[in-house]
Amino acid sequence: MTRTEIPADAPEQRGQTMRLVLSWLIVGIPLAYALVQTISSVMPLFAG
Amino acid sequence: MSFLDRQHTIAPPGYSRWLIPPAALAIHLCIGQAYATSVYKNALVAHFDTSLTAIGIIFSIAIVMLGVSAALLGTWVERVGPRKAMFTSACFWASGFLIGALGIATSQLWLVYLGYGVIGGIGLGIGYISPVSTLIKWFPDRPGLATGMAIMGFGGGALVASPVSRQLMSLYDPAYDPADSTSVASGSAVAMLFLTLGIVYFLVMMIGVFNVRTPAPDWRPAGWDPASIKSKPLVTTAHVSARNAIRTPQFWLLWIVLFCNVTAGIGILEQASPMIQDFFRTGEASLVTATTAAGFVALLSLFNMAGRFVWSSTSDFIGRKPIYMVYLGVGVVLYTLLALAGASSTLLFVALAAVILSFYGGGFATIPAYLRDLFGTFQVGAIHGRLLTAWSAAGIAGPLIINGFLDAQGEPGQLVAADYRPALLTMVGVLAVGFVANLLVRPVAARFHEPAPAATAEPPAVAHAGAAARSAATTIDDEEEGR
Repeated sequence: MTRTEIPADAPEQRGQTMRLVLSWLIVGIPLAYALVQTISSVMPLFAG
Repeated sequence: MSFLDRQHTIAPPGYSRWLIPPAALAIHLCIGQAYATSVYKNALVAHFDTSLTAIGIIFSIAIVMLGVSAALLGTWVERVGPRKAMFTSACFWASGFLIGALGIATSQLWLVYLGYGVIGGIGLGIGYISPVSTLIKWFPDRPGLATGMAIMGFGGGALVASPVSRQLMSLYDPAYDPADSTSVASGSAVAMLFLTLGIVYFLVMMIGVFNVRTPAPDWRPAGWDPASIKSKPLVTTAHVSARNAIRTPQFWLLWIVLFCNVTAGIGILEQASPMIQDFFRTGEASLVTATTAAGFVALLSLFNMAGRFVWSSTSDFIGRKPIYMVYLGVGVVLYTLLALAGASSTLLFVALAAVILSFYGGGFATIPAYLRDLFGTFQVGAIHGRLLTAWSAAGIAGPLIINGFLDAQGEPGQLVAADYRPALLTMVGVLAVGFVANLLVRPVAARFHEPAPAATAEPPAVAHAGAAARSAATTIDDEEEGR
């Protein structure tokens, strides 16, 4: 098996970083939205 | 469709393993919707002019199919690899919604049973186990963290789906007010919701399908020494097949552990809203309003989700057996306190229930890593699938225990804290049984291990598929070199 180390500044590396950011955003944004919604539902519990 | 084949999912050198958790989350966030069915339950009751039980059956069928498909298709998932499994799960899950939408639009309840229940339930089972084995292979140094992230997504899926579904139904039916708990959406709005969710979930799950990769057989995380595993007594470097695993006492002890942990958690989840009101009832009225009770349910959902990530990650440091001793042993103490002193203070009641629910979530998320420790990575996904039958069984036992005791104590709306005591103390007994089962877990006997190939230390499945995998990896590497 022949393998090539990809230099840190290679376009593939930058592409992967972009892909990482996008992938985490796609799952992170709905989760953050859910957290905000749920915390706002929890508030009445501590209001009384 | 060779893109979906296992040999085409081998990661090229330099592929970041941190792309795998969001791929797994993309699946689990979507299938976690299964726990948000209460949002449109009343709308379906009104639309089909039927009972709550008849609509509740849709969810029950889906959960039973989850357990059955995870148990029966686990070995297939291991064989075809995560990408084909995730794709299949997305097809079943989305088709379930589309057929369900057709059933609602044409007022055919049996189509909803078949669509969301049976077909969607198969998607649930395949989707739940599809990323587990891959995550464990990418994170041999932190398997608890990896599976905790994915299974946290299942808890989070319901938290996402509930508010989104309410908003979508109000969009499709302007007469429906999501802020008013008595407002009910029209059947056509629920049908449109199913159609939308089916399409959106399919697209999101495809992101997981495209991103998921399996590590090359010789891949290791930077700076990680596989020899570090050998220093831990309950962590094996051997491999046990799914067929052999179910012949070991360890599998059945973990089945009991999961069953007991889930049964106890469901005991609170099932009754959360009426329970907090009943605990603080004085005469006919309760000190806790319906809105506050809804806040309590939301808080439990948060702790359930957070527990999946926090406790499962913690298990990487303190070990799997000790963390289950915490879930079950401390659970016994907390459940006893809840039964005997929970009514003394709202804050104490809420705190005890929240920690118990975090243990419930933690129990779900840590079990794949426990299985990996005892049985190796060879067919851990398939073994996990078989173990999930404990979840299905607990889904029946938990509500039966709690409702059985409460029915014997009196009418709903008239119950007080003391009426919950027999049910809660029974759960203490259930947790104690799980604690003893966990205490009895020992390393799996060598006679159940797969024979190690003479020339290589790779697990059998990897060795068997090694030539194809290496060939595929070479092709990818050569293509990269050619660019």
